Parts: sequence; C-alpha cells; structure tokens
Amino acid sequence: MKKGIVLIVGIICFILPVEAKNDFDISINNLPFLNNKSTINTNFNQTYQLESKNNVNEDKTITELTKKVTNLLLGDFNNTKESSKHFYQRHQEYLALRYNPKVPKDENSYSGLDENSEEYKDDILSGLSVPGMFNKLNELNIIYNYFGNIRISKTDNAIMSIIELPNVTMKLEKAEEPLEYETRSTNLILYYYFKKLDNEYKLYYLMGETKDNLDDYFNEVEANENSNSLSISSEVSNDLNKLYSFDKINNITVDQINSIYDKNKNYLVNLSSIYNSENVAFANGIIINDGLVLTTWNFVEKSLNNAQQIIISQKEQTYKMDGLVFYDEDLDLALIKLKEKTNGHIELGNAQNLKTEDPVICLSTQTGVGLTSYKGIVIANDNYLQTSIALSNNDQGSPLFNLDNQVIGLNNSKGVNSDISLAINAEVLKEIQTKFNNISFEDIDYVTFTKLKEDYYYHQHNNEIINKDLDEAKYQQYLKIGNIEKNINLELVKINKAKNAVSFRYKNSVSSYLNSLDMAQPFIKELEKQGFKQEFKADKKLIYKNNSYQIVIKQEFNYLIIVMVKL
Amino acid sequence: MKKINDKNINKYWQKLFILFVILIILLSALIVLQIINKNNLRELKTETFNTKYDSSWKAKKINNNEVNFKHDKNITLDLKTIKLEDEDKYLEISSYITDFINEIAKQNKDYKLIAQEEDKFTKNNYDGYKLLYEKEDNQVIVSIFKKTDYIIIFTYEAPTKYFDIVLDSAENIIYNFDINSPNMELSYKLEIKENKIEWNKNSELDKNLKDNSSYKVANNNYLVNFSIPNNFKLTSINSKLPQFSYNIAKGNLYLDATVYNENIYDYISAEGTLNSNYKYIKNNKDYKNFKEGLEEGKDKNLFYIYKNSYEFSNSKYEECVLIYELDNSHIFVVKIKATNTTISRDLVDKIKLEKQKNYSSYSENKKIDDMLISTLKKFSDNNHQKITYVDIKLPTKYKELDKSLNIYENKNFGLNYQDDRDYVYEVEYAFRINEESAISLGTTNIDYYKNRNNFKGLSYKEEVTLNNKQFKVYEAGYNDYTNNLFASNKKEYYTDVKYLIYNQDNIWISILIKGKGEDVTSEILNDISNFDINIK
Repeated sequence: MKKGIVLIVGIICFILPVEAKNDFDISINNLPFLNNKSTINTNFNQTYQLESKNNVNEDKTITELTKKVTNLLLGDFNNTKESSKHFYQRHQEYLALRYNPKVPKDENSYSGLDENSEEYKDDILSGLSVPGMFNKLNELNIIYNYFGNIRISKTDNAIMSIIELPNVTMKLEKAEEPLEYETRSTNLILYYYFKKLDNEYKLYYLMGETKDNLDDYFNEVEANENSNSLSISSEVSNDLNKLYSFDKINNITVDQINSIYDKNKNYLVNLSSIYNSENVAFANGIIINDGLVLTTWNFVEKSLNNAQQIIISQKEQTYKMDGLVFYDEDLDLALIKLKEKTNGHIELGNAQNLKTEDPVICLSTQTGVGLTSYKGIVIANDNYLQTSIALSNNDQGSPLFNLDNQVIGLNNSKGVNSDISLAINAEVLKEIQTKFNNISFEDIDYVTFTKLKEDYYYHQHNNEIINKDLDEAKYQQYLKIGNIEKNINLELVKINKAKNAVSFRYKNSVSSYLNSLDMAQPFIKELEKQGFKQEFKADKKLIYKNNSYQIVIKQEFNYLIIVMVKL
Repeated sequence: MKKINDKNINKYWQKLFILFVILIILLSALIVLQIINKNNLRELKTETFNTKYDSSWKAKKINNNEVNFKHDKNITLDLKTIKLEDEDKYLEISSYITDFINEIAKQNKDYKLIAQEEDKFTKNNYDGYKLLYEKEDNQVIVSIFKKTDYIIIFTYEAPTKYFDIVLDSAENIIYNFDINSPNMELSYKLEIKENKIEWNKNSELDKNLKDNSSYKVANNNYLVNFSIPNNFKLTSINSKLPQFSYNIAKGNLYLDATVYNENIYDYISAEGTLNSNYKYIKNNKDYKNFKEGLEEGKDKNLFYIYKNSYEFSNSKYEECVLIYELDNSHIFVVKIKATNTTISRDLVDKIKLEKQKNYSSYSENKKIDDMLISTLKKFSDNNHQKITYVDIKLPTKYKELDKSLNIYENKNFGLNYQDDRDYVYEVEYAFRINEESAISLGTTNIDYYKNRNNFKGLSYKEEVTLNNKQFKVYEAGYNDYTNNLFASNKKEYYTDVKYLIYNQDNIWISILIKGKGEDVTSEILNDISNFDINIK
C-alpha cells in the first residue's frame, strides 16, 4: 500500500509541469526612458550644449480636446460595429463642439448680419467644414487603433493641433473597379483649428491628409529631381488655402529661387549612411560653420544604430568626417565635424519677425544627385517654425530660406510626411554658429563615429551557431516534402526536430532585394503539386496542409523558417 | 493492542489511496480535456490588456501589467507593459529604441544580438522593433512596440531545438494582444418621442390588395430591392426616386422610395428632417385637425413608422413614412401620401425591404457573347403604358461606371484605366427630349471647361453612319491636367470631345465621349454606337 502511494505521488510529480525559468530578463525599472537618462552625452564636451530650449507647449487642455474631437469624429478605437444610436449621439456631441460666434447684426445686408465681420466669416467656414468633415470621414469607414503624435502650436488667431493616426484602414473605391470598395491601410493626419468662445475652445476648422496622397507627391518630386538643374516642385493639393493666403508665394519668380540656389549651393550637403553597401538612412544638412555640418539627430542616431559609416557629399564632392561634436535630442540636431575646413558657410537670417503667410523657400535633395526647391508660407512661429511645405523623410535637415537668400530654419524629422512641416528656427542656429565661430577649427572636440558605436551601440551583427540536429533517415523523409533541398536556394542555418515536428531555418543574404517568402516560391509550387492546400496567408506567413503534414512558412528578420508538423 | 493499531493504520492508508486514485482520475480528465481543447484559444484579460493563447501554454498572471506564459521544454513568453508618463507618451518608439537595446545588453551580458528589424505587431499593426539574441543553446526574440501611452515588451525564449517550432504559437499570442481601451462615454441623451399611430380601416383598399412586385432604388452608395403591392403602378423610371400611384375609389395613393445618407435618429428626432418636413403644416392654421404618431416597427432592420393626417382645402390627407435603417448613416425611406382615402396598416405591412447592398457605385455588369450589355429605360409615353429600352452593347474592355448612381437614366463607361487620369476614354449615354435640348445640355457640359487652355466650344462637325445608324456629330476640346498637380509643371493633355446625337421615332439619345490625351478614333466611335432600341 505504502509503495503504491509513493508510486502515485511520484507519477503526479512527474506529470505536473516543471517550473520553467529562463535567464533572459528585462528589468523594466531600469529602462532609461523611464528615468529620462541619456548616457551618451558624457562623451561630449559639455560646454557645447545649447542654451536654447525647445519649450514645447504642453497644453493639456488642447491635447485632451484633440483626442476628444478625434473620438467623436471617427468613433471609438477599432470601431467596427457602431449602433445607429451611438452614431447619432456621437454626431450631436461632435456638432456641439463647433465654433459658432455671435455675428453682429446689419439691417442693410441681405442676411441681416454683418457679412464683413470676422465672426460672420468664421461662422460660415465652421458651418461648412465642421459638419461636412464628419459626413466625409464617416463615409470612409475609418478604423483606427491608437493616437499617434499630437503637436500643438499657436497661429495668429487660433490654436492649431495636428494629430497623426498611424495604420488606419479606410473604405475606398477600388482603383480599377470603381464600382466596388476595397479596404486600404494608410496613415491619416488630421489638422484642427480651435478658437475660444465663452472661455471654452471650440472647433472652427479642420482638414485631413493621408500618407497615400503625400507618397504620390513625394514620388513625383523624386522622379523630377535631376542633376543638371534645380527642379521646382509642384504644390501639394490640400485645404490650407481655405485658411491662409498664398499670394506672397505666387509672386516668387524662378530667378529668385535660382539666386538662393546659386548663393547657397556650396553649403548644402546630403548625408547617407550605409551598411554593407546598402543605404540605411538619408538626410540633408548645411555647412553652418567652416568645416561643421548641421543635420538631424534622428539621422545620426539611425546611422549609429544600423550603419557602418556616414558619407557626406555634394554634387561633385565627398567630405570625410572626423566625428560628432554634439547633439540635442529635443531639438533633433546633430553637429558633425569634417576632416577639413570648408571655404565658407551658410548665412543665417532673422526668424523672430516671421509672421503667418510670410513666404519661405526650401532647398532639399531626395536623391543626392539633384536638388529640388519648394515654396511655402509660414503657418506658425512659436516653438518651431511651421511651414506649409510638405516634406518626406529624406528632406530632414534641409534648410528654409527667406527671400534675402538667408537661412531662417532647418527642417527636422518631427514634421515629415505631413502637410505642415517643422523647422528649428534661425535663432537656435545662430547660437550654434556664434559658439563655434569663437573656437578654432582644430580645437573643436568630437567623438568618432566608431567610438560611439563601440561605447553605446552594441548592435554588432553576430553570426549564429549553425546547428543540424536531425538523424539522416528522418532528414531524408522531410526532404521529400516540397523537395525542399532542391527548391530553397538559401543558406541552411539550422535544422531542429521535436517529437512530430521539424524546422528548417535559412538565411537570406539578399533580403533587401528579394524577400524570403519570394525565395520560397519554387518550394511552395512543389507543395501545391504534392497536394498541399493553402490554409492561411499573411504578409510574412503562409500555412499549407494536407492529410499528413502542416507546413508553416515564415519570414523572420532575414530568415526563412519552415516548420513541418506531422499531424 | 498491536493488532487493533495495525487495523486503524491500514484503514487510514486505504482512504489515502482512494483519495490519490480520485486525484489521478481528475488529472487524467484534465489532460484529456486539454487534448480536446488543443485548438481552442483561451482568453487572458487583466485590467490593462487582453490576449488569447492556445492550450499548449500555461498563463501565470503576475500583476495587471505582467504575465508569464510557459510552454513545456523550458520555453517561456514573458509579457510586460509599461505605462508612460505624459511627457513620454507622444515620443516615437524609434527615439528610445537605442537606449533600450543598450540596457538589454547590460542586463543580459551573455546574450549576443544576432539580428534586429522594425516590424508591425498585433492585428492592429502597431509599429515596433524585434530583436534576436542567442546564448549557447537558447535563442530569444524581444518584441517591443507601443500603443499610445503603453510600451509593450514580449520576450520569447526557447532552447534552439524548439525555438522555430514553437515560434508561431508564441507569435499568435502577440497577434491577439491588445491594450484594453476605455469605451467612449457620450453624454448626449437620445430621446425619441413615440406616439401611438391612429390607423383607419380601409376595407376597399385591404380587400383589393394584390401580391407584391419588386423594384430597385440606387442612391447614396446603396442598392435596395423592395417590394410593394402590385396595385401601385410605376409612374417614373427613376433609379434614385421611383414613383408609383394607385387610384382607389374617390381617392388616390402616391408612393415613392429612396435612400438617404442620414442616420435614422437624425432623421426622426425632434430636430430632424422628418419633423422639419411637416413643420409648415403643423404651424399653419389652414391645415386642420393635424394628428401624428411615431412607432417602432418590426423588421430585421431597425424600422420606424410615422403617420399623420390633416385636412386642407376640403380634402383629407394622410402621409405615412416608413424608415428602415440600412447602416448607421443610411436609411431607406418609403413615403405614401393618401388623398381622400386612408392608408391602412395592412398596406404598410405588405411593403417589404427585400435586399440591400452597399456599393461604391451601382451598375449591372451583364455579359453576353463577350459583350457588355447595359440598358437605358424610360416610359415611352405619358400614359406609362410602354417602356423604351436601349440595349447598349460594348466590348468587355469597357467598364461600366455609374458616376451618379443611376441604373436606368444614364450610363457611363470607361476604357483604359491609367493611374494619372483614371480612364483615358469616358463615354456617357443619356436620353434627351429633342435635338435642341441635347445640344443645349451638351454645350453646358463643355462650357464648364471654358477657362482651360485650348478650349474649343461644342460645334457641329458632320453626319456619319455608324452601325447602320445616322448620327449628328459635334466636337469640342480643352486642356486638362493629370491628377493631384496644380503648379507650373503639372502634366497637361488635350481632351478630345465628340458628342453624338441620334434620333429614332422621336426617341433621342446622346453619347458624349472624351479622349483624355488621346483622339477619339473611328474604331471607338464604332464601338460606342452599337445599341438597339425596343419599345415594349
């Protein structure tokens, strides 16, 4: 009896799962962004740190109002099934946010109201745009899952809030079959303008833009960039002209733009970083002092993360760099020291007096081969200089000019891919220029790219241990499935087996040209010939099945992973 | 004594043995259930997040922000969420990924980073990063992504032997993950005042009600099939607003149907369209004995019935509006107006919404012998006794477009779709009353482009015979631009316009064709002039 009980206890202990514990751990209390630490600064000369601070307007009221408007405009997160009752309530609450000022009376006018008053114009504008946008957006059946970045700034007579909604889906006409709908995924940016009424902010105008519209525009700009002359970009189609007058830029001549280009072309550079001949990041920059290039920290950090080197060049010249002098994460700026002093640098103008609707020109390269000019107006000049020039990721670090051929801002990475871009204004750039004018070029301290990578960026691409753990007989059996050995022409890195499953891991060294699932096409075709049916399809995963096996084909990093499970 | 003690101890062990057997049976049952439920997903929910996982994992909730999933063979998946402070929550994950990777490296010195990539996570495609680490016989994937004010970190670790095999199962847990979102709170209260409807019997109507006939209405991106008693005669072949009438005894019933792009409560609320339609009657003393009622009806769709009655200028009127919800921003509305007769409940009950479909635009894509067949329809005469059919036959390379959602009155087609200008050729067929009206409407259409470069107004060119039919051909043209470009270097092209007018037994048809950047060739003119007219 006792032996029986001991035996049973032993069996139970065997059946009950053994406590699994692995060594890899992430202690979330030590995560740097929680403590606002950044250790990389310790390598730099601390006297180079800027006094100018980016006083981001953290108006919580407007932030919360922006989120509320978005919720009321588009519905709840992931709103796939909304009742009519909820829709109605949401609609009414949204309409209650409309800015409808009291319009002064005028007996002599047709409407009985003073049609020349600001209130009348605002009432008409908000009366059309606020309800209209609700109907327009709701027809698109937009489904969004979270709020992206919100940025707020004061324009001359309103508060503007821009909210990004990444990865939304919307219902649109199929391009080639306009009689049917399809669902497309894109990024949506909404622009809200608020005015105060009876001490409360109300919505007076709004507009929206999708990434698809901007992508088409950026592709066109890139295609037009050529090495023989300055390309002049077309304008993006949006509704900013309902709020702002673009008259001042309509008078800018091609000669004026060419004059800006002629005067400054020697001080504009493009930066690209590479890993194994592949382009990792791209940006623009300016020679702010002799031998010093100013660009965005976003570009430099991406390069430190992923690249082996940074190349700085102009149309006919490449510069060698010594290293990084300093960076400012808030302002998204990084200053690079070149190996040799240049002949001259950019001239900075005055940005303080810039007003809404003042004209600005941007010169930027998308390709590194040519240069494109953009015309725009100032939208706001508070924390940032915000302009109506739509810029892509590659345009970060490009300069803004006034009509006196002077730089009045540097576009950063925070406002790319939207109708309104952000630039650090010239007052900050002047601080940098002045500071380093007072130090001789040879005495400027820097930290090399290599040292930064070694000290702070661990991302060395280590090699995996190649491991083949399968007996020959079993191996041959699995090789027949999809004729895998013949049909996958990639380097086999691992084979593993467990009970009724075997996994093959292949390395795809050409993953930047051909994705791993594409490389598996011959194998997939063979599976289909062998009677396997596709059970599941996603961007990075396929599942095939027959009566005996389930085959999972996945793309992970630059690997192709094939798991065969015996059913 | 010893014997008695031995006996008690034996009984004790027996009971213990029975308990253990029961325990084994229960454990076995649990194992069997697990095997049966192998493919069913289990749900895990905390105050912060929710996800699903298959039965090969065991979930252990550490707190509302942390869960540990365990597989057998020392395979684990850890899930941690971090709520960000206000100043951090609008930062992109790319702005702190480097610091994060450095910190992981410090905390896990024995692990080497093999690969990293940006990726999208969960079914909602949140942006984030994936990192692959290796140490001796173990590999680890760390997935880090962000949703609004939360950072989410999944860490999957397994011995190399099982890593790839169990990876998909682990990634399904990530796929099903989401942060719990608070439901939107709305303070606006919906108040619909329902009033009982007074129905008057109409035995003459009820005893003569016939079986239903089916009709279609296409408007505001919806196609609705509905049926009404055959007593009602179609008086207008109008796809947006078909109209019917029925003369009964000394009175008359009129009916029309349409689709509105409006929410059902927006329509029926106190400030809504329905009430504003009758505000004038309610407030005007000339209209007497006004009574109204609103009730929720019974249908598979949300459905309301409104009915009123009043007297005006010695006649009695009743109006009944049936409002069917199609979706939260579209309604199908049937209006019945009775003059000197009454609308009975029996009549209303016979009216049915049969089918509904949300199209971006509606058309009929009938194909016979490799030809696309489309039909224009209209009543031939004012007595509505006969219908004129125009069967248009086009090669299937032409696509039917229905720009104004008309099924019967106009037909639009496109040929050669291109990204920068939609269809290179666009064709529009329409009925016209006479030649003057056809020319006038064609001119109005072209004059819209008056301010364009190279504008040429509509002018008569010649008479041509195409497909055994005589057409009067007019021509026009103007410069147009490729899509989305408004500045100086936009792509410009010349639009060649031909306008064909045809007459057969006083049935006038116009065909407008535009070639955007291409000439309208004689081959195309031949294609578009292939149609037959029949009166039935």
